[in-house]
Amino acid sequence: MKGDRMNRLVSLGEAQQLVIEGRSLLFAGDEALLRALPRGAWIGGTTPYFMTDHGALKTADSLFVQLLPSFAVEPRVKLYGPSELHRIPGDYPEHGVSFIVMPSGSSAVVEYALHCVSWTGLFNRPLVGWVSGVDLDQLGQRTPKVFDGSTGQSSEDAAVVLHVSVPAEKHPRVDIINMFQQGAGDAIAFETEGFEVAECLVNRERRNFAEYIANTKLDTRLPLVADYNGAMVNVSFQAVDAVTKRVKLYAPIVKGIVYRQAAALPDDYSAAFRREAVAHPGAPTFACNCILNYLYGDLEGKTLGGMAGPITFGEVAYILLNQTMVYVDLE
Amino acid sequence: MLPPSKSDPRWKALVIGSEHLKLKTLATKMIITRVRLMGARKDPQSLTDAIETVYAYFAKNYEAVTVSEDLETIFESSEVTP
Repeated sequence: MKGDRMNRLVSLGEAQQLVIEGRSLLFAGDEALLRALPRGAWIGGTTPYFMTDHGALKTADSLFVQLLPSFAVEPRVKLYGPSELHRIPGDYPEHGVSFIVMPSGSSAVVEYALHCVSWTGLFNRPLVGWVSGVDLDQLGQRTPKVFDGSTGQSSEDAAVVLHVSVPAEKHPRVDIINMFQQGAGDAIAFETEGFEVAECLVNRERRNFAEYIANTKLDTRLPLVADYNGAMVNVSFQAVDAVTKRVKLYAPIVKGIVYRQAAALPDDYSAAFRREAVAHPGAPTFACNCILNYLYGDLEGKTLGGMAGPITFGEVAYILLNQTMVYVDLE
Repeated sequence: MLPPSKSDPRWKALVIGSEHLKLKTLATKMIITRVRLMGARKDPQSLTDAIETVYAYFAKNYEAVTVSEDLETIFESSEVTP
């Protein structure tokens, strides 16, 4: 394998060779393929969905590899259990970047999403990553996993992190591409925090959130959007229970933040994405995009500019994100 | 730009402020949002924690060009520096 950039699907044999060559690697793919990799400086997570140069697709026959540049050195791989996640910022390299993968539905994801902003130093170094999943046709039959390539250990409940150092003249850039902007509708706030909610404040008036969604016929494919000083942060709908009158979300809502539901996209997702992606690098070192965008945006077979990477069940750019593309460019 | 000293009153103005800042760095956007939520609680400990948090971030990262530019944007804003 030659060259210092690789961001594509490879065969198991190619992946094994990359590991043997001693490169620092991020893998995504089927559990059986990840288990067949030799030990080395890599982390991995399960998903069968990918963005590629030829379009988004689903496959269990190849691994997606994101090769870190040769100037990314001193790789350290570590599994963090749910009670150890707060140590991640303390393990950041002095100058570098950290990549994290967590299994969907795990205690690690819940703990991370609820508490990461309270950890000392979370924002002090770039931290990006994703949430692993399974083929949606096999829900309940298979479980999402992460892999520590340095030991060969896998986990259904821990986060795996690869920390790497980069030269002082490199400044890794973490950013997001979010198709969704706040719409012109109601201001929605919450007096509690978490992945599940009953009550909300709609234009400062207390309402049951499930009833509000039903009465207004909210399109729950469009996420709630918060404006973080110009960074649009989504919270996606998982389920609305008309019996219990509770709403489940794919990320926790935050007390004190004002959300508005996203405006509908003016055209199809891939066209909207290509328009939005102009301001961002074409082929970053790492990128991932949300499974909800793949499904709702009907992305199978469609390309997204130069962006390639796993399609994921949550994204991480410091905090847990939904329906968002996350990338880091190490150049 | 070097971060002003932690005791500079403009840090408090930042964490209790609400002006929408045109920032460049994703981490800066997120951390400002976070510390303003802390500052909104108004109690002395939350204010202290908010200032410590945002100061530590800029002290660690100000040498990155875009973070330095964010620092200038913040300390040129009318809300922080009337």
